[in-house]
Amino acid sequence: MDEILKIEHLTKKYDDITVLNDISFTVKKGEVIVIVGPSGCGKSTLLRCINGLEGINDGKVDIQGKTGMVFQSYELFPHMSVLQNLMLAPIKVQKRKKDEVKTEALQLLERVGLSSKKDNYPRQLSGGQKQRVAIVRALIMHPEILLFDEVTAALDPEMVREVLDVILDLAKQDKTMLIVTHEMAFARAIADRVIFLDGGEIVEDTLPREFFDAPHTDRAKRFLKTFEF
Amino acid sequence: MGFEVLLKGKNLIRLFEGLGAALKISLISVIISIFLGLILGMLMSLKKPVINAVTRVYLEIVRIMPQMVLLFIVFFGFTKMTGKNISAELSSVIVFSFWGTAEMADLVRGCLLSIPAIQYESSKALGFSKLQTYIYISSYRR
Amino acid sequence: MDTGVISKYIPIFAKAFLLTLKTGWLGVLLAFLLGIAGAFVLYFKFPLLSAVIKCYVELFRNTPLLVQLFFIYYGLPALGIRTSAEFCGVLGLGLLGGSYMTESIRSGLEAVPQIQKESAVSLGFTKKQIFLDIILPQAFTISIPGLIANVIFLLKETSVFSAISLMDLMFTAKDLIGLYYDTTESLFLLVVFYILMLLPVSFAGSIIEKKTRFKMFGD
Repeated sequence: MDEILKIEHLTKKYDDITVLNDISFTVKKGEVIVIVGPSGCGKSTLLRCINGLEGINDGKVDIQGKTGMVFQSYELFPHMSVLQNLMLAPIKVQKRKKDEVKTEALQLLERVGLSSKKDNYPRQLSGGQKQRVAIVRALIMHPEILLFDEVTAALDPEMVREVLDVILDLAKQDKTMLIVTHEMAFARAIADRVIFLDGGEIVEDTLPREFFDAPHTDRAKRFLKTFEF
Repeated sequence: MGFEVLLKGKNLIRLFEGLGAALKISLISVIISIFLGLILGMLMSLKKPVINAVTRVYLEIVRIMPQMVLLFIVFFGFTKMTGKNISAELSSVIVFSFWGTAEMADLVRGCLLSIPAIQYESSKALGFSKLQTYIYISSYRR
Repeated sequence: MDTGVISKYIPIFAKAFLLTLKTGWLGVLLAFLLGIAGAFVLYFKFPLLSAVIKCYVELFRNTPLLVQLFFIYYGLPALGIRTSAEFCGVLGLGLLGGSYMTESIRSGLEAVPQIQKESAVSLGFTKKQIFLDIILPQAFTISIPGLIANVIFLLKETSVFSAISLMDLMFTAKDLIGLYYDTTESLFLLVVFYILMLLPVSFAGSIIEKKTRFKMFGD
């Protein structure tokens, strides 16, 4: 299978502090990779390095195509309606035809169950609805790889499910995705591979069943313990 | 540039006298504004329709009338009405207090209303009276 | 109040009103232009220019218009530049307003969260598109209350124009009171014409403020 993303020896520092240390892994087309790890382990920074929001100090990030990113805080444009939010980038950045973009936007909204909200402003939506729109906004650009940065962390518990369902649906469509999350049950269900990041290093890069049932390292065991009662 | 004009005759002294008068007027007006503004602001935060209507007109006057116009009205208008002269200083104090009270009241109102309702509810639950709430809860928060 | 006197004075005041209105709004226009330019420079932190704009803003925000007008009105001729009182009025008001507008627009621009920009970057927008389509409209909404307050403030400030012998509303009122002692009528017309000038702006301002606010924030 084709490699969409290849990261080699990526190192990222803020002043003297090393946030990511010698990270290497590859993502193949259609793969869903879940990145887990304690707060401050560098997960979000890793995503930001991949899509170029942060510069890197050493190593190489090689992407075949475009990335799309979904943020924890949605970041819809508050001065535009849902449909305008979806259509602005395809029209302005990719110079696609308005009619064609609109048709696709409506189809995608239908798919995430938000057709009726197309003319609403972000402030009129719930957190879960906003996040579904944000996912569609990334999706409509046809990125080769989608990056999800703790997209359910800011949501009320009852809204987490509706967003995760959308992502599960994307996995079924063989989208390539890199997901940072704290939802362990979800990670286990959706991941083709789990990367466990701790202290800026990849500690485990393995199959979900293996990671959750029989982690190799003590650090992973300790991390998973924090989710038990 | 002709700065020597400052040193001619009593010019410099006159400038300082002007500064003194300006400071005096400002100080008195500020004190009056703070005092009246606090009271008016509290009244406005009660959200009584009559008070709201009156204060809205008052605030709008202050918002759109230039101070020069207000000064004219007080200075010339007072004389016209009573036949007695009113000093320029007193006119200034009246106008600046009129203006400052409005600004102050609006600030106080905004601050009082920005305190979350739950704070009032909890102080009520603790058995504070309305006055005690104002003194111990509202005024500490801002 | 003598209605005969009032009807006699109305044309005189109307003439002064038009002059005040014209110089006031020209000053506001100049202020907007300066403010946009100034805020742009500060937002993008152009090295030398930023320092110049900062000095300008501090200087003009912290001195009264009256003082600025004296400098312009008596200073420019001393430099050999001949101008009219009207031009000085517009220039003074524009410069004063420009400093206020710069601050309002700049703070609006900076109030747009950094992560909004990042989300636009990750959608592939160019810098120019991000500024024009994402940042500016949001900044504008945030700035609107400040901008409207500035417009009202500037139009009110026209009342000091009489100090440089501009025949505005204040000048006319003072003149008529001094000449004929028709104090009540003159003061009445002065107030009426200032209401005419500012009340519509105040009303329109409140409506615009509510509409834009509601669109973005919903309250």
